[in-house]
Formats: sequence, C-alpha cells, structure tokens
Amino acid sequence: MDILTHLLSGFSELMHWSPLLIILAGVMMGILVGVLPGLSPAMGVALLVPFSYGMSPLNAMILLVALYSAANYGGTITAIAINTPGTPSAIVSTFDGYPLTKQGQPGRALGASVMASTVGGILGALVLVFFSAPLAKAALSFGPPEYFALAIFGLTIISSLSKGNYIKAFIATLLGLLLNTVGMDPFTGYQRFTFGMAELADGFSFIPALIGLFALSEIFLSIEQAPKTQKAIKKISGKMPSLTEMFSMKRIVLQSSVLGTLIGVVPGAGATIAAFIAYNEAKRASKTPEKFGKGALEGVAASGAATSGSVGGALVPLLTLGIPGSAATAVLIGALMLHGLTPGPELFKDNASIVYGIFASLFIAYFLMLFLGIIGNKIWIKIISAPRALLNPAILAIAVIGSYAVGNSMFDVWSCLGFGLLGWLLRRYNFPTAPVILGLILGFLAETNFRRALLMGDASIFFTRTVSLIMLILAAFSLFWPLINSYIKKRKTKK
Amino acid sequence: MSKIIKSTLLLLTLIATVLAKYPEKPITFIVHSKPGSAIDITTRRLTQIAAKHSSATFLVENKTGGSGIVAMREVLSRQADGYTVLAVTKSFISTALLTQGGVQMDDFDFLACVVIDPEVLITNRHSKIRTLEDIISDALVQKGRQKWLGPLVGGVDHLMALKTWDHLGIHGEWIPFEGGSDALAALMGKHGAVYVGNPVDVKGRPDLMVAAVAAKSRLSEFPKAPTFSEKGFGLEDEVLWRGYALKKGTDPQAVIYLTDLFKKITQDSNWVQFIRSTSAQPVLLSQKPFTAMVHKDQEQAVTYLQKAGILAKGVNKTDYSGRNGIVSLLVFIILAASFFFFKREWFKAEILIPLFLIILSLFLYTLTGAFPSGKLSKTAGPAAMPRLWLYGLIFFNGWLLAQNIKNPQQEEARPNGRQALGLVGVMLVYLISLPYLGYYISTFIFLIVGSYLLRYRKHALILATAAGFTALSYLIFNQVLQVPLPLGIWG
Repeated sequence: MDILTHLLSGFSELMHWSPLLIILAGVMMGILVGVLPGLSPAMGVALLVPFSYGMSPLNAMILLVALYSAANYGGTITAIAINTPGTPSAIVSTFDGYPLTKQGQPGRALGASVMASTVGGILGALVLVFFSAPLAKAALSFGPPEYFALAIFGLTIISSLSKGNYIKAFIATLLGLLLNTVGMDPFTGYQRFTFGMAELADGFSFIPALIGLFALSEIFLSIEQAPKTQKAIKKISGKMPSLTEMFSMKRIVLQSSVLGTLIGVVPGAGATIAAFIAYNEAKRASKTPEKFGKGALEGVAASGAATSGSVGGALVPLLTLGIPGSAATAVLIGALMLHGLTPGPELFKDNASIVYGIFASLFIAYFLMLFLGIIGNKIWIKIISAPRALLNPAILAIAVIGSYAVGNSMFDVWSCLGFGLLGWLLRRYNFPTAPVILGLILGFLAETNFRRALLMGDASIFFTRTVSLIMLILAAFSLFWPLINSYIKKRKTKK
Repeated sequence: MSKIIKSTLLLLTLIATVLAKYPEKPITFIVHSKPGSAIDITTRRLTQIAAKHSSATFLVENKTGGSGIVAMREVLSRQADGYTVLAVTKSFISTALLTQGGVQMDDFDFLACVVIDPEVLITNRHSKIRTLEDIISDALVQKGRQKWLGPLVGGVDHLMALKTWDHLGIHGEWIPFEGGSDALAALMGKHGAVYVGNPVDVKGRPDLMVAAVAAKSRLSEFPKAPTFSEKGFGLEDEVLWRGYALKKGTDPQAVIYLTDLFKKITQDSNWVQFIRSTSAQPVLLSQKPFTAMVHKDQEQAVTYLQKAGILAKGVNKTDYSGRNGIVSLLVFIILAASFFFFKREWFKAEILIPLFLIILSLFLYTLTGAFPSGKLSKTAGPAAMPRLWLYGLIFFNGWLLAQNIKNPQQEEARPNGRQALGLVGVMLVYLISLPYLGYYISTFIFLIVGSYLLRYRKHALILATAAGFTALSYLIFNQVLQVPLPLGIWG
C-alpha cells in the first residue's frame, strides 16, 4: 500500500504542463534516436544529459527516462519499414516486420509493434515498481557460470532462425562468433586477428555490422532480383491491426513482456538478447510457428513487447543497486550523479519523491508513445510508399551517417559496407544473416564468462550451481526442440 | 631571388602568427570513451564552465576504441595548433604500453591535471572478508586463489592490485570484467572478495564498504575506513587522475591561453562543487608537476606489468601472418583454377564458398599459434575460443561441401546483378570522396547518381529528395542532436 500512495503522489507531481511537456519531448527525441540507426538509446540519453543540467533533478530524470523508454520502440519502426534496425534490439523486428511490409501490410506490423511495445513497457514499469527489490537480489546471484549458461541458451535459438538449412545456419553463427573474437583479448590484452589495425583493437563495432548485414544486403539483393525498372511496393495498406487481432495475441505479448523484463534485469544481458529469446519462445508457443520469418504478426509483437519490457527491467538494478543493466542506464547513473543523486537503496529513502516521480513518468511516457506512434505510422507508410529508386539510395546514405555517428569514424562506415557485401553474398547463397548477429552478440558473453568462470574454479562449476545447471539443461532442450517436435508430429500422424 | 621570397614568406607567416589571436576557431576536446562515461561527463561539464570564462566555443568529440589508443592517434594526426585537446586519464599509460599501437605518452604535453581520486580497496559488508586484516589472512589461506575483481587486465585498477599484493605480501587471482560496474555487481553478488576502485564506487551501495584507503589521511566521507599507512603499509599516495593534454610542440600562444583558462575553471565554484559530488578531489597540477607524475606512474607501471608477466620484456615473435596469408590465398586460387579447367561443374559458388571458408579457417588457425598462453588464464587462453569456432567452421563447411558435391543445386536467376554492382561502385566512390567533399555535398551527389542508376527519371523529384534529405540530416544531426558530421575541405 505504501508503494501505491508513493506512486500516486508521484503522478500528482507530474500533473503540470511543464513535466508533461518534458516527457512528450523526451518521447519524441527517443523515437527519433531509435529511428536513426547508429544512434543507440545510450547515445541519445548521453546527448540530452547536457541539456538537463539546468533542470530540476526530477525534470531532468523524467526527460532522460522518457527518451530511453521510447528509443527501443523507435528502433523497431525502421526495422519494419526498411529492414534497417534503428537499435540493436530491433533486429528481431526485421524477421517478420519487413516481410509484412513487403507484402504490403506495413500498417499492421507497425501498429502491432507500437501496441505490443506499449504493453511491454507498462508491464516492465509495473514490475519495476512492485518487485524491484527481490528481483535485484536475484540478479546478483548471476555470476560468470550463469552468464555463460545464458549465452549458450541464447545460441540455441539458431535452430529456429535456420530457415530449414541447419548446416548453413551453424556456419553463419560460427562466422559471427569468429568475427566477435577480432580485437583485444579482454584477459591478456593481446590483439587477435587485427593485422596491426588500431581501429580493430576493440573489434568490429556492432551497429555498422548490423546495418550492413540487414539494410545494405537487403538493398543489393532486392535490386539484383528486381525487374529492370524500380517501382514502389504495390498496394501499400496503412491499415492497423484490429483490436481483436491484437487481443488474440495476448498470451504471446504478455509472455514476451515478462521475459523481456526479467532478462532486462540481469545486468549485461540487455534488450537484444531479450528480444531474441522472446521471439524464440513466441514461435514455440504459437499455433502457426511455420509462419515465423515470413510475416507473422506474433513475431513482431513478441519483439516489440520484449524490447520495451527490458527498459523497466534495466532500471531495476540501476535504481535499487546502482548497477547499470544496459549501456543507456550506465549513462543514466552519470546523469543522476550530476544532479547530486546517488542511485541505490538510499535513494528510495532520501529521495522517494524523485524515484516515484520517475516511476510515474514511465507510465505517462508509454501512453504518449502509443499516441505518437499511431500518428507517426501514417508518416512512415508515406515514406515506404516512395519509389524504391529514391528510397534505396537514401537508405544507403542513412546507413553511412548512422555508422559514422557510432564512433565518429570512417572506419565504421567502411566496415558497414564490408558487412553489407558479406550479407549480400551470404543471403545470395541462402545463408541466413540473423545467426551472424546472434554470434556477434553472444560470442563475447560466452567467451569472457567461460574463461572468468574457469578462473574462479574448475570446469565442474557450470554443473554444480543450480541456476547455471538448469539453464544448460534448458539450452539442450531448446536446441533439440525442433527435432523433438517433428518426431512428436510424425508419431501423431502415424497413429 | 628565391632566398628573398622564402625569407619574406617566413616573415609574413611570423607576422600572421603574431597577429592571429588564439582562439579564433572552436576548441575540440577529444574523449576516448563513450558519451556518459565519467571522463565524458567531466569534460562536458568542463567545457560548459570554460564557455563562461572564454569567448571561444568548445566542442566535445568522442573517439572511442582501443582503450584510448584511437583518441590518442586522432589528436596526433591533427595539427599542433592548440585547437584539439585530449582528455587523459591514468589508464592511458597502460594503453600506450600494452597496445602495439606505436603511441607513447611522451608524444603529448600534459597541460593540466584537474581531478584526482584516491584508490581504495572495497569489500562486501556481508561477506567474511571485510577488513584489510581479513583480506590478508584469507589470501594467505587461499594461496593465491583469492578473487580480486575489476576491469581490464593491465589497466589502472589491476596495476593497483599488483602493487597492493606486493606491499601486503600476498597474491590474488585477478578476474577481469567488461567494466567497473560489472565487477562491482559481482562483488555485491559475492562472486569475489575484493574490488579495487575509488570512493565513488561505494556511494549509494550500502552493501559495500571501504576496507583500506591509499591516501595519507582518512577520507572525510569514510571516517571509519583506515589508511594503508595506519596498518603499516607504505601505500599512501595512490590516485587515479584525470587531466588534459595537447600534442607535443603545440603553439606556445595556445598553451599559455589554455593554462590560464584551466586555472580559471578550477577556481570556479560550480566546478569544485561538481567534482566533489563525484567523491573526487578537484586539483590543479600545472604542466611540470603533471608531467612528472605521468613519468613516475609510467615507470611503476612498467615494473609491475613486467613482474606480472603482462608486458613481455622485448620478446618478438616472428610474424608469419603475411606469408601464411599469401600461401592460403594461392592454394585457394590454384584449387579454383583447377576446377575451372578440369572439373567445370565444381566451379560455382555452392562449392567455392565452403572451400574458401575452410582455407580461411586453416589460415586463421595458424595465426592462433602466436597467441600468448596467458599467465592469467591457466585453463583457457586467448586462443581457446577462436580455435573452437574454427574447428566448427571447418567441420560444417566440410559437411556442406560434401553435400553440395553430392546434390548439385540450380542457381536462381538474377536479372539485375549489374545494377546492384553498379550501386556498390557508386557507394565506393561516395565513401572515398566523403572525407574530402564533406558529408553534405557528397551525400547530395550520391543520392542523385544513385537514383539515376536505378533508372528513375523524374528529375525534379530526384533533386527535391536529395536536397530534402541533405537538409533534414543537417537539421537533425547538427542542430537537434549536435553530432558533428565531417565537412571535409569546407571544415
């Protein structure tokens, strides 16, 4: 009850025009930052930090949190519209969102994404308000062996990304994992596979790789396969999904939101892994898993709900322990400190009004996001309806500006083009590109935690700790699920 | 004749230099870490306060990568005119020593050190190991297996740990994490015993406590935490510092101006208040003492890194990567050529791609032989994981190769391959010209050429799209987000 009264007073503090306008501005900036590939939520928050100096601590924080909460959704827009994930976590939205756009139904995909994101965000915020203390404690029990197990669990998702050809999916994953080892070895400082290039000291930047593998390869491939004159996609429908259609997906949206929130709580796991896992589980729970990857609305909803859910999750360790759960929350810690606030349990005691003000602002931000998202979709539909011959060069230029903005370096732009050509080649010969990204994301998590765990004990450490053991068993189950599933189906049809 | 011209020119440039008043251009601060990191926030705050005391404009640019090596190189690649300032921290010493990047600390003039942060040992209040005495006795029992958590191997915190072990007569196991906060989370989850850090790390985290302070006297914020010297250990002057440096040989006029500016900033009450809020100490060390401190720290870093076996003492392994690379490529070309001449049905992508990947994997495998075994990683070194992935690649590509030879597949029709390649070509030209023409002009041209290449012929619409896109990107990046895009020769 105590929490509810605090929350209500939090709402009452925001019910003035200036905080509401600040949240609106934050949400708008968030969607913009999300839409632009190369500007991650973390960079967006960091870019706004200087503006927030002059504000009161509460206003500053609601501005930044509003931006953070909307940015993950913003990324899914470009993922669906032009196959260019605006944020890393939005990759998963390309799997089914872009096929829907190609089928002339971008309205359905964009609409499902914003609605599912709103539900995910609000559920994440509810979890943050009511369960942050016990969840934070649980997150701390995640040590190196558990992170390793999580990475292995994540890798098993390739079996559902394989599109039928397991060998090619494995090769693509291994390519991603191998590309991930380029750069400085975190344990010895040794430069692996850098061939003396200083720009490679930290390995390939993730966002240029992402843009290249998805957006660039799509453009090259679509031009190659298209007839001689480039025309717009025929018959684009801006129709939103109906509410009954959304309601029929309630189970998948709720399940993905909860998964996203829980994975978001674990520091270092993040929205991208959350989206991948939620997608995989949605496919498993779906009655029509064969539609996934070809334009399943459920896949779009799962990805949107999970990425937005992870925002509330990532704020849990930030506010209760002072530990950032994601890159963006690391910047938020800096911003809190600038305003003389130290995140941690004492913040709840000494500055309860600010904490609950932030909580309340999340709910308002998500409603504004829904509103702006539905209006904005109309603009997006217009843009997608433009002739491909105008759109394609513009997407390439966005890819360039986005890769450059990551680290202000031309090297990232070149590596984006390199990944684009690699992606083109792979997709030309039916290698899926999503597993490459999965390998890039999980390789580091797997390697560092594997070696870290071995520094802590011997190899038995992975099997003697309960959480780690359970996750490894789940991983084995998940890897062989398609086989088990088809075996069950065969037996059923035989009978 | 030419002598006269030369001396006149020299005289003219001299006059020009005297007349030109620094600063007449914006002064850019280069930060090596991402926006929002401690040094980034410090620098952004500093430039805000600097704007109060100077007529110049200040920009902050993040050049991330290689623990600072990319930022250091960036500054060295620019002119020594005082318009580029590098934000430096103690960690740059390790970076310069450990990366084979050819950059040295002596390439810079250390203008002013503005923040110092005392080093402290941090433990978990709820664990058995809490005080300095606990740490020492437990370390002796564990015989070198006591877990010390922190960021990068060889970095500032690791060096401090090595030094502490040396002074305390103990040994520990350094378990590196991606960043300080991940290591702190591990300490809070009791996955290790000790964290090396600064007072700010304990702020707002009541589960953690300061076990020992490496300063001359106790810190006012932590009156209960003893100093090392109280306990009889000689670690009393260990700090993490942050400051600002210029490329060596910078125009003295700029040095004088900036030195004066830093003096004004560090006396500003807003600055003092800001640094205090991060539990650090605002200071001002001018060029001479700052340089002396850098040199002292560098000497110590070399000693401890060599002791720990992280910095090899002049051992140079012969680099075979070039030779192996050429041999591998030749093998692939010979195989492909022999397919072309003797077995034409194998000369196609379905066969050549897995073959190429196998040969590439074998080549990369030969490189892993040069990877260090790593003193820190007794069980799995830096070569372990790459090798595992390479085994996997060889195995699955071999499988794919066998499959594709057995069941050859039909290639799909691709009517428009040339157009796609053309677009790649245009993009290549675009990227090559971008650093010279600047983002806006080259993008404008690229959009027009790209649309024409894709056989679109509505000229007005093409022009309008290109102009609109360029204007919109200027508005968003330069005006709203304030992310500078390259201007090339117009900058």
